[in-house]
Amino acid sequence: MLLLLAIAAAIALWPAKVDNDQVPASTDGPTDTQASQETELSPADPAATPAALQPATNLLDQQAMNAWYAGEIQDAMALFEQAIDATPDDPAPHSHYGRLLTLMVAYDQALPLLERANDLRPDDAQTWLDLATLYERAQRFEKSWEARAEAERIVGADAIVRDEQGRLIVQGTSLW
Amino acid sequence: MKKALSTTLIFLAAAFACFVTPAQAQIFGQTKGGAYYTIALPETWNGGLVIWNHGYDFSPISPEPDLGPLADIQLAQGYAVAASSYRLTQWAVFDTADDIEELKGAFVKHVGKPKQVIVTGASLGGIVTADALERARIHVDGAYAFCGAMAGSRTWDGALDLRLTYDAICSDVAPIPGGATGLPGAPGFPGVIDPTAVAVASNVCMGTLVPPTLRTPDQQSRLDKFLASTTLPESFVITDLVFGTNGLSDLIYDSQKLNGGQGVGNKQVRYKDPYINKNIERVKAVSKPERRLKGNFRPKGKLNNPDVKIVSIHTDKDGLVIVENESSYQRVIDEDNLSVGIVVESVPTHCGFTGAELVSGWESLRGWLAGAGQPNAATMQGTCQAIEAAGIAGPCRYDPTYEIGDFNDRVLPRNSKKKKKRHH
Repeated sequence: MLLLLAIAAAIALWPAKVDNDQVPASTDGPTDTQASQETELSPADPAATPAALQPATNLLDQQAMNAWYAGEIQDAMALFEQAIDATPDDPAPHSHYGRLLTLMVAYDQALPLLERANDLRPDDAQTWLDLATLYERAQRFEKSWEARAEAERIVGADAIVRDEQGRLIVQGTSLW
Repeated sequence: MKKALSTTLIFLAAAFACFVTPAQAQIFGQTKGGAYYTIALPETWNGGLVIWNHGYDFSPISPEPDLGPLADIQLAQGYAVAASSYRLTQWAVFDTADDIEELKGAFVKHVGKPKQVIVTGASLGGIVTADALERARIHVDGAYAFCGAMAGSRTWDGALDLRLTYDAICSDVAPIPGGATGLPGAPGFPGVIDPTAVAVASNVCMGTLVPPTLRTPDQQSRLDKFLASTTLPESFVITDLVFGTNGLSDLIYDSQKLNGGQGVGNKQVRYKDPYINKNIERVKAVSKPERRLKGNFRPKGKLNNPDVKIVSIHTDKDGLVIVENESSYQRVIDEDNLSVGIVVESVPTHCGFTGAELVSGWESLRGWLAGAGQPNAATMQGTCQAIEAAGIAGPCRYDPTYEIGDFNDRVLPRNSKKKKKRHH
C-alpha cells in the first residue's frame, strides 16, 4: 500500500487518468451539440456582434458542411476556406474543416486549423479531443495524451469515448 | 504472477521515485549519414541509454527529433534518451541500422559509454528496432516495440494488395493513376499527390468521407467489397490508401530505396474473394529490387545479442499495422527472447494504447532486464492495473487469452511455400 502511495505521489506529472474506450459512441443519437451551436444562426444583437459577417460566415460554414455530406468534398474545402477567411475568429469552420482534413489524412493541413479552434475555444472539450485524435493518427502520442487530459479536466474521464471512426469524442455527441 | 507483480511494484516505486523533471540537458546534432539527433540527459544518469525510433513519416527529415512518449518517465528514472530523425523519410529501414549506430557513436562521444542499451520504437519504429537487434553493430540489452510493423517488408505486400484492390473495384469510378507503383513516377522522382486527392477519389468510389447513411447504394456496395477483400476496418481505408499510393510510390521510385524497381508483386497470389482474384491486376516482382526490399528489412531472428530481451505490444484491431505482425515476429524470434502482449480495444486504432498500458510494457521490460521473470500478457495486465491504480491513465486491456492470427491469412503469401511455426 505504501508502495502504491509512493508511486501515486511520484507520478503526479503523468497526464491525468483517462476513461476506458468500452462505451460505444452513439451514432444515431443527438447531433453534435457543439456543431449545432456553431452552425445555428443565433439571434444576433447587432451591438454584440462585432463581426457583421458572423451570420454569413455561419452560413458559409453550413454550406460547406452540406457540400461535405453531399460528397462534394472539393466544394466543401473551398467553402470552409471562404468561411475562415471571412471571420478568422469563428471556431466553427476551423473545427469542421480540421475534422474533414483529419479524415483525409491531411494532418499537416488539419493541425493549424484545430489548434486555432482550440485557441478560440480552450474550454471546449471536443476541440481538445479533435487535437488528441489528430496527434494520435500522426503518431505523436505524448501530444495526444496531453490534449486528451485537457479534455478530461473539462468533462471528466468517463465522458470520453471513441466514435465508429475511432475519433475521440465527448460521449453522446456525433461528429457527423 | 503475484511474485512478478510485487517485484514489478518495487521496480515501479524505484522507477518513479524521482519522476519530477524531464531532461536536464539536451544535445542536438547531425551524424555523418545526414540524420539529425536529439540526446537528452537526466539529472543523475543511471548509465542506461534508451534509443527511441519514431514511426512512418511522410515529411522531410528535420532537426531535433522528438524522444517518444515515454521520454519524461525514462529521464526521471535516470536513463539518457536519444533519438534519430533517420536519414531517409518514409520506409527508412534501408539505412536505419547505420543511423542507430551513428547515434550511439554520437552519444558515446558526447556523454560516454552506456552500461545498458534499450532500443524502443512504435509502428515503423518497431521494425527499425527489430532491425537494430540484427543488423546494427551495437550491443543491445533490451527492446520495446509497440504497434510495430514487425513483419517488416511484408508490409508492402499488403500495401500492394490494397492498392490493386482499389483499382479492381474503383478504377471505373474514381481512378487513381499508377497502379502497382502506387502513383505514376519515374526513377528517382517519386510520384506524389496530395493525400486529399486520394481521399476524394476514395470518397467518390466508396463514400468514405460521408456518414454511412448518406452513401449511395453503389458506394456502399463497393465499400463492402473492398472491406471484405482487404479485411481492414472502414475507418482506416483512406489512411491505408495514402500508404498504398504515396508510400508505395516513394518506396519504388526513391533512388535510395528501390530506384524504380518493382520490388513487390502478386503474380501467384490466390485472393480469397473470387471477384478480386479474377479482376485484380497481376504484377511480377523483379527479383533484384525484391531482394533489396526483403533485406531492408524482414526479421530473420539472427539476434546480435542472443540474450536480448524483447517486449512487443499491439492493439488487436489495428487497421494500419495489423496485429498479426506480432505472430510474424514470433515465428522467427525464440520465445525466450520475446514477450508479446495484446490489448483488446473496442474500436480500431493504430497505437491507441492508454498510458498505463504503454508504461506497463516498459516496466515489464525493465523488470525482466533487472532479473525478474519473463513477462507475459497476464503479468503485463497485472502491472498495468497497478500502474493505473497509482494514477496513470487507464484502462488496462491486455488479454492473456488472445490468440494472434497468422499474418499470412491477412496478407496472403507471395508464393506457395508454407513456413513452419516455431511456437504458439
